[in-house]
Amino acid sequence: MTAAKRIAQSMTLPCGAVLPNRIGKSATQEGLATPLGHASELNVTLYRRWSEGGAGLLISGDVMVDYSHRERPGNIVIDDNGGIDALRRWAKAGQVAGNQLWMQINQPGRQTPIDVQAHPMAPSANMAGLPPEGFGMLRAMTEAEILDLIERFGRVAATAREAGFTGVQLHAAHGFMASSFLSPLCNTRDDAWGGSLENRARFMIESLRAMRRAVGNDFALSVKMNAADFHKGGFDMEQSMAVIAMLNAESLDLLEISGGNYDAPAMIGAMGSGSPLARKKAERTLRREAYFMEYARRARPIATMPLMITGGSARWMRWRRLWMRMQLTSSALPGHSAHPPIFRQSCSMAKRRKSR
Amino acid sequence: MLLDREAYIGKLDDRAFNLMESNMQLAWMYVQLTNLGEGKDIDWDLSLEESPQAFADLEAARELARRAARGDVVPAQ
Ligand SMILES: Cc1cc2nc3c(=O)[nH]c(=O)nc-3n(C[C@H](O)[C@H](O)[C@H](O)COP(=O)(O)O)c2cc1C
Repeated sequence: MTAAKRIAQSMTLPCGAVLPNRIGKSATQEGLATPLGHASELNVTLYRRWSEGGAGLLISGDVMVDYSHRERPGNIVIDDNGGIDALRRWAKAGQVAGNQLWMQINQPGRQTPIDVQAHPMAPSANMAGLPPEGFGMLRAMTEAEILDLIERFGRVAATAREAGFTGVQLHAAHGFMASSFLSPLCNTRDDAWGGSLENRARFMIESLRAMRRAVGNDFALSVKMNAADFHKGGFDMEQSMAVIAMLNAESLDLLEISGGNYDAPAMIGAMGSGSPLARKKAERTLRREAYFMEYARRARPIATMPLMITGGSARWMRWRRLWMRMQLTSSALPGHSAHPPIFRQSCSMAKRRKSR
Repeated sequence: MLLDREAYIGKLDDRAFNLMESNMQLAWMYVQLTNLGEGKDIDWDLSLEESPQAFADLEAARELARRAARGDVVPAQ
């Protein structure tokens, strides 16, 4: 079967949900919420357009679980602040073409900007790997705060289901809370939530369990995780592979692979100091193509859940003569269907090895 | 959307250049997401270099609206 045919095929996820095709739009923070953190009419219009674009899976921009820790002003927040009707309108618009629509859920932790929070909660009060400006002095979380946050992830996942989303995704990539727990550089705790890789993965895994409990078994649950942080001494590929093996025991419908953080934004093609790619004078454009593909190839034999890679897929797809498919998805941009790279679509390279 | 690397040789090293370009790309995207949300089309005339300012203007206007509504916001903590 050609790649183009495969990508147009539907796929049934372990929970029973069906992706009508294997093209996914990765989470994209819209910054369009109302001042109260509710979904706005701009969110509704945008997602209707995206749905009409034809991707089998749309993942929302990260939705915040705590008003005092937003990733930026303009985030949608679910924190006892009402807004369920707006969420319903948003969820409905984002599925007009029959695609899956998942809510990405996040707490930005150490990467909460200073104008939102002067003392962001984080696994440890350790500023390593943060850009020099824009972030307040961190505060190490108490265990009660950790448990509260895990519960919040569950509550927000339940709200997503109630509002009409068809799945949820935990944001455990890009240096935000769950991602920073994984990193030995950011997480220097010496209790059950830090130290060994198993302890550092506990926050992400417990959050996923809380989300699964909240949404039930017949609802899509996904996690977006870094292949690596691209920080010296940080979360690297070997650790990431070991965490995938741990995730096999959880009931996950999709693992999305990304990488980097604010200081080393590998997720949008720029590498940090710890990356061999940053030191190599490799061709700049080339390294911006499907940059986590190599990692996905290594992860594939380990992971038992479907995989999605994100990052630079648009041009990679053009190389693979999947231009027509991309035109399908980018038709959300009227008159500009010949510019899929602008649309930063991501390609779901998912293939199930065995069901859980 | 990429910047012209040649124009910055000698001024910025690879890492600084990549970070700057990534930030500009993000700003460009955020402005365009607003355009799409408002039912408009992509503004193809907006250059990467102009994007950070365009985005800052947009965010400043939003922040004003947010402040105006702040009395209603009840943060959890
Ligand atoms: C404007 C913008 C907003 C983004 N917001 C999010 C987000 O909310 N959550 C997330 O996991 N990734 C976010 N990302 C990263 C993308 O999901 C994706 O990982 C990255 O853009 C690389 O994929 P691409 O090359 O297909 O764009 C964002 C990227 C951009 C450009």
